[in-house]
Amino acid sequence: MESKSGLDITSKQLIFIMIGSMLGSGILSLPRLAAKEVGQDAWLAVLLGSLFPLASLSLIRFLYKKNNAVSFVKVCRSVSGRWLGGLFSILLASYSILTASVLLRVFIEVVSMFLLSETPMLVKLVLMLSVCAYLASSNAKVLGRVNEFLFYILLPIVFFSLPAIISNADIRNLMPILNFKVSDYAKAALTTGFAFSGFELYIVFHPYVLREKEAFGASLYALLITLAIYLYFVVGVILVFGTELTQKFIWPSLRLLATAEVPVIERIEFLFIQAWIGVSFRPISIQYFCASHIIAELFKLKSQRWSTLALFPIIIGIAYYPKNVLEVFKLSDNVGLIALSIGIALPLILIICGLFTGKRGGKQNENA
Amino acid sequence: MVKRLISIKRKVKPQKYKTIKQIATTARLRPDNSGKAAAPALDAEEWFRRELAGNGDIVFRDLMIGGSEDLEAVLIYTYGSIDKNTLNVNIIKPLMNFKDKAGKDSGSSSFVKRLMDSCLTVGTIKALKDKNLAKDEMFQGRVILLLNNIDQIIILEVAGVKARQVTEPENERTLRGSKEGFIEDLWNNVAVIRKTLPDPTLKVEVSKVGRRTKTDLAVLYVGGLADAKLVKEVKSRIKKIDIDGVLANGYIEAFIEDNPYSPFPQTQGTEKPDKVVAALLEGRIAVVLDRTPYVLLVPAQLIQFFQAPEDYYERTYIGTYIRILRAIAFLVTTSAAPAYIALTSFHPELVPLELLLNIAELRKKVPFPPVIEALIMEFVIESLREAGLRLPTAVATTLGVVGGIILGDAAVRSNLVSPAMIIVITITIICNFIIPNYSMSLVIRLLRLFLILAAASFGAFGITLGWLIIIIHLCSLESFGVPYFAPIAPTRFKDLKDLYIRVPIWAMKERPVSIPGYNKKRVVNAREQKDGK
Repeated sequence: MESKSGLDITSKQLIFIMIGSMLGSGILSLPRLAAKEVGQDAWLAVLLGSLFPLASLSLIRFLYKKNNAVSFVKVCRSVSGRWLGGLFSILLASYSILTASVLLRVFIEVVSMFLLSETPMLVKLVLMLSVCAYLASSNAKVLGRVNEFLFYILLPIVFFSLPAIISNADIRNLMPILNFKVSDYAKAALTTGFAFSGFELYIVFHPYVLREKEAFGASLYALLITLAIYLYFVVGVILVFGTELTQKFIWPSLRLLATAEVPVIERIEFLFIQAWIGVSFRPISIQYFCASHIIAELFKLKSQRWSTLALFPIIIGIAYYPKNVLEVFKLSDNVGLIALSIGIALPLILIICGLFTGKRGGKQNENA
Repeated sequence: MVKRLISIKRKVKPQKYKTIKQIATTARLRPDNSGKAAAPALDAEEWFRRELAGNGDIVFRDLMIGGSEDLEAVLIYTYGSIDKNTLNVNIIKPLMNFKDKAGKDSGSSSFVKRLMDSCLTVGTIKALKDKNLAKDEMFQGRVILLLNNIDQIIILEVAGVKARQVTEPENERTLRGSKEGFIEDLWNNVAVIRKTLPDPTLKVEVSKVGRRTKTDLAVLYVGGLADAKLVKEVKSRIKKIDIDGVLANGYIEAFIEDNPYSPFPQTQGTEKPDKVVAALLEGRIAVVLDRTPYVLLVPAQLIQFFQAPEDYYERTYIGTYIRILRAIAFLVTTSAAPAYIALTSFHPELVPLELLLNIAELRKKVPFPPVIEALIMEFVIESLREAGLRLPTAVATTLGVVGGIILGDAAVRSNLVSPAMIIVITITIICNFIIPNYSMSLVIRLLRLFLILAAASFGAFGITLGWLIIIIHLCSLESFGVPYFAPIAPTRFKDLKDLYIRVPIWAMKERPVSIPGYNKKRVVNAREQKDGK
């Protein structure tokens, strides 16, 4: 339980960080995306989609098993040399920056729709990113604690909608099962795989887990919990709205939450939007954290605060760039694709590089 | 290097040209010089008279031991800080009546020993040779006894400053617990703690802080429970304090806390011995400072500021009920006013229609936006509270009536503030008083102000972001390596039974996990043993 430096996290905290980074904006739009390709079998698509992060997590674990390293930048450099390793690190950092920006923009779009429609976009972006930057400039321990806290606070709110689902559900909305072509399922799995983006950051957090042996198990738990929450929403939305209606909503999950009725408050989804701020704030700050962490290590900065500060205008710039919601969605689809390819390809390339660059990292010992 | 050499040279130089007088004095003080020839006691007296010149409160009392001419002695003490009766009865009288059985020619040190052992009837007594040390001792309320012909100085403890009566603590009243509070005197406070916890492993490590005030400071911990590393860390931080004056505990707090720029208090202060003992038994460390009726407990965690001894003394349901009440009060006092502002000025569509119409009716004639109303009310009430704090009780009551009732009524009648806002702010203030710890209730005012401003600028979004910032800040705080926000985040499930739900005392079998320490077992459950085999 005691930590040597500010970087070490417990395996439990890794679970929460991973959940925090995966359970992002996907939660709002996932039912629509999944139902688009395979209709009532959307839940199957989500299950299949989780295979991508599973593969990625296994690869990352394999990478760290082969190469004992204390950080992501170190492992990159040890397998592929100083410059190429630096390049790989920058690649991941820039991906994180891009993801953070897109998530930020998607988030602000939702906020504009439900909460603050008249405040200028830039103000909202800066406001939100400042809070994220506050977290991103701290250390991994704090990141773990914040995620842990928010997880426990927000989990009950998710299941707040359970009575509404049960009373409005129509089981026929899920029938018939297995009515589509295999290629459709594959395509749907690819789409739903995006929703898990955030899993690739396991590559950054793995070395900091205090008992490294538990890290992989923890990441699997995180994946499992995320999957369960996604399944809950996808099944719930389709049970209540059916396939066609689901696709009419931009954010069907929110509609689902809005069906719950509470006496005093006029519009219950307002509360969920508040909770959702807490949910989606997490992936932004975790991506932001990873980017500034990698940059700080790469350029040997004394404090992560400087890199956080330097990245701030870049993220704002990228997030401010798209003109409307459609462009945002296009960008976010692309980012999802990049996430999948980075999550699979980066560890794979690093493993292959490791095979070539001699047996230096090959000697394997259990570092406690 | 060169500079240092030069400076050393400079230092050496003037010593060469010492006055003859100086050489003579140093020569006389040499131990190998025979004591009889130089009559050092007179010199010592002279030295003290010179050193203490300009101090009107210092008394030099000449006397003759046993009435004999060649055994002259001087008592030196500060007039106000000793007990005159003890001095007369236990020191002056025995000294004057002292009949030395051994001959006068026996050695001076054995004479001092006989004097100390068989004549001076005082509890704390010691002999030393260093005059400067003796002088410091005297200023801390002790009596110096100088003897003719003898170079040893006897220090006698005859302290007699009137201590304040032990009273019920003003800020932490209890109904069922002990009503004893700490007072200004360190030794009394330590004694009270010892009386409550007469365990031999309770360690009391005393040191002095403040170059000029030389205030006594005691670090208390239970040897078998507190983490050794933690104790060492606390002591090393206290040792590093270098300041000329330590007037109150707050000085120590400012020096030893981890995050000096955080608004949250990172040491827990209390006026109640039972609270200190409870903390010591949890493996925490108490810092007691002389002249402060207030003991600091480290490491501190957020939840401790929301717990009161009463929670444990009443039945478990009541304890739990009060805890939950307090949690809700905390939420209300920080967020009720911001929520009202956000709802009325940003999201009126969220309020049920009848209520909204009501509020609109009430606010119809008020010319200000809700945030200005809230700030006016906050300002008035905070000023009332601050003014009432320092006034005599009778005047404070009048102030409350005039300020609270008349002003509030007038404000509503003149349409400066809407009645709805008065209700919200009043509830906020009442809930603020529920927080058991004064330092924490002060911080909560700041949190509220912060959230009000956030709500006024960005509505509900602002409130949520404000809370996120507060949570991140709480998560990043640590007090002596212990996470401040534990057991909430990092979540320690074992400690949750003392968070909102206060389980029965016998069910709290282990000491809190959040605080490092040894010997986690606290209760061996007698209840389970009884119906078990």
